[in-house]
Amino acid sequence: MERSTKMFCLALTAATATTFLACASTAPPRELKDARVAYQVAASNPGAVRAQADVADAKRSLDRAEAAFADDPSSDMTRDLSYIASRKASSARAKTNALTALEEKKAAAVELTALRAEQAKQQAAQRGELADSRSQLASERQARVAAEQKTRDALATIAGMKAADSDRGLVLTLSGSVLFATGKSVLLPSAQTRLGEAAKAMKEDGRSITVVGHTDSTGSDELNQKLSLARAEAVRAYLVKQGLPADHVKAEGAGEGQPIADNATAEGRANNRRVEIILENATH
Amino acid sequence: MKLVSILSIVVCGASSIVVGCVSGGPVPADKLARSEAAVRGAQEIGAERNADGARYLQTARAEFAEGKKLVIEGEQVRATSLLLRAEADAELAMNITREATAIADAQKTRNDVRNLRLSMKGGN
Repeated sequence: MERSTKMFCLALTAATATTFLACASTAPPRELKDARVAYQVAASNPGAVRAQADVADAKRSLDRAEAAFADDPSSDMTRDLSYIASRKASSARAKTNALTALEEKKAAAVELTALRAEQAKQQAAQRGELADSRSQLASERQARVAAEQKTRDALATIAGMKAADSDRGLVLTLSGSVLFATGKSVLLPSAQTRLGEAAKAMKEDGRSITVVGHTDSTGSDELNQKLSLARAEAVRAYLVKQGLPADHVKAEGAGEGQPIADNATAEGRANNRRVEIILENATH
Repeated sequence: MKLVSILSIVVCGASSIVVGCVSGGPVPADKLARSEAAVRGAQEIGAERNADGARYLQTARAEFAEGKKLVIEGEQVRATSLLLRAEADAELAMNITREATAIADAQKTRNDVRNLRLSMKGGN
């Protein structure tokens, strides 16, 4: 009786030792190795705290798999629990990354809203500046038109003077016979009166002035060129004398090159003998 | 002899418990329902449109179908394991899809910020 009990105890001890040795020497299944690595990755993620509950669940799952492995290393249960632990760890990692990305998006969205507000402010300021500048331009244009009209009105009252708009500006045409004796470049006294009146209007207008002398085709080109320039110079000198700024008034001789009528008739030649005073348009 | 009898009773009792576990009692209804809900949830958030999500969802579907079949056949232990695996795979499919969507959204918003900064710097 006593002997058989001893024998049984020895057998039991041997069996237990064999079981422990078998467990200790058995390598973990691939699923458990994967689960251990997946849990390490999930737990060491700097943002793991965002999915704390999921990481903790993955840990419990891994503990169950480890316990099953300790109990029966090669069982289906060990492999299944390891597989589930691995999936839960990967799930926790993915959830951590998703929550981190959501926070990053939220921060970027706040920045975007602030930037849009700043952009709207800048655009409003630009619109305001543009409106101011347009309004200023419109005022300037209006003032210029008014000044031109005033000049035109004033000049229209001067006898023997024609005013017409051209691409260059307002062109005042004075007949040569009104200003000069034939072949001369000295202003007639009557012309001085008319030019004096015109000078007053032009002084107020303020635009740059070009005086251009023209002749008919009688005589040589060279002589006509000289005569036209001399007449333009005479008119310019008189206008400057009347108070127009010298650097705003220039003289040009066009000779017989720019006729406005037929040089074959006396009337045509009379029209071609002329002086034009051009009030230049601003270049902008 | 008395000791042998006691040990026999203990061993038999333990064996009965183990056999009971293996052949299985009925699979709890909530395990089946949770697996099914997880698979449906993964489908609804569009896991099929994400390569990894689709892969895990497909696995989850197969595991769920096999688990259901084993429940009917009375293989309760194996069925329970498969249903738990299906739930874990479906949840992974869901979280992977959410992760990809969130990362893409964050990247898009960061790009919007960068583009707006550039356009403001350029004065457009």
